[in-house]
This record gives sequence, C-alpha cells and structure tokens, in this order.
Amino acid sequence: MVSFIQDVTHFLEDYSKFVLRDDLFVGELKRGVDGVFVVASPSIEPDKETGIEYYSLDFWSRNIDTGDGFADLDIIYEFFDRRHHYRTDNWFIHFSHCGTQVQDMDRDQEGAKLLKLAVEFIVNKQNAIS
Amino acid sequence: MSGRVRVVNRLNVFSGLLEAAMERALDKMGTDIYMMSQFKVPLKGGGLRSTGRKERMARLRRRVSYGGAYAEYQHRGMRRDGSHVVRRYTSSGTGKGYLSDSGDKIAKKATAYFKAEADSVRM
Repeated sequence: MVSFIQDVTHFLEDYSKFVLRDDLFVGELKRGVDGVFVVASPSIEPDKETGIEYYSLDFWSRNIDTGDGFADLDIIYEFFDRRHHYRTDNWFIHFSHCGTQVQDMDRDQEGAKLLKLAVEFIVNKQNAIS
Repeated sequence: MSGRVRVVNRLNVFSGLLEAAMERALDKMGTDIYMMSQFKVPLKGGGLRSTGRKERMARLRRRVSYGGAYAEYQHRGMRRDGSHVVRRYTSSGTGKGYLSDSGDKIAKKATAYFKAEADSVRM
C-alpha cells in the first residue's frame, strides 16, 4: 500500500511541472538543491463513524531565488486549494485546501529562501467501500 | 410559581479538544524545527544528520534532538573548554548552532502555531 504522501506527490508530479527526485522530493531533504520537499504534518484523528481521514502535508520550498520559491508554492497552492472530488491512485480526495498562505521560514545558512505551505486533505481510501 | 435553572456546560469536552489542539501545535513546531535544522546540520558523511529525532516525551512535551558522538561538539562548534574550534565545514551552509537557531526561529512564531490549532477546535 502506497502511503498517502507518496500518492499525492505522484499525483502532483503527473499534473504539474514538478519532477520527482529532481525538484520534488518526498520526506527527504537534498542539500543544495532548489526544489519542493513534501513532509507529513500532524493531523486530526480519522472520523469514527465514516472512516474519513484527514491529512496535513507541508510543502517546503528551498530556493536561492526567492521569487522562484514563491512561484513553486503558488503552483501548489493553485493546484490543491479548494479542489474537490478527485482521485489519486489509491485515495479518493473529497476536498483539499490550503491551511495557510505561504509562510516565510527564513533562510538556510547558504542564504537560500525557505518557504512553507500547509495543505489539508479530507480523504477516503479508494477501496474503503465495497 | 417556582422553577429550576440548570446550567449545562461542556467545558470538560472543550478542554479535551483544546489539549489535543495544543498537542498538534507542539507536534507541528517540532516538525518545523526538525526540518529547519536538517538544512543546517553539518553533513560530512551524513552520520550526524541521520541521527535527528523528533519525539513525544510526555503530555504537551516534545523534544527534537541529534545524537551521535559529535552532535554536541558540532552544535557548539568547539569543545566545552573552548579548544578545537571548528573552522571549516565540509558542506557550505552548515555549521554550529544548527538546532538552537532553528528552535529560536520557530519559538518566535509559537503564538501563531497555537492560535491556528486553537481556531480549529469545534464543539
């Protein structure tokens, strides 16, 4: 079973300019590489009655060019915010929305800009109902 | 004519939800401190970097730490007695204070983390 974070990242790669392991990474940080890094963030418990699950993913951008960093997260913002009723390979996403605007997380020691965007997902597993 | 007034509150439910929200806020702060420190931790061989941990120590208590033999030395950038100062890091952009700097930056935004999670509490 592919984890939700992997599934969503593949979905983003399929329908956007990002290329996995080139400028899009899951759960790992590549030093000195400009790109977007996706990490799971704490989220609320699944619904006891419906089985609906809630996921929160953080999209971190690290980029020497601040404008490019904002542009990357703007793409992700537009891609996920208020999007509803769509499928990834293993999940049905009822609704996704951005929990925040793009947040300035200062710079790393190399002077590259660090930005973060939190996206919330309300989902079911595709095979949850038979 | 007599009547009875009964006051019903759900403070116990609210306090439980609020505590869960505060736990999430601390989790998110810990995750962000961990992420920021990963951008800064000295990298030679990757050994120290891979020892980074975010743990739940107890109720409303989290810890982000690095282990390994040289974690403290590298963080201080010198030995405790001030000798053996690290003057050159193998990866540019990495250096001493990799964890405390990250913690300080996130701590400055603590109110925003707690407010965001508290706002999500619904009764």
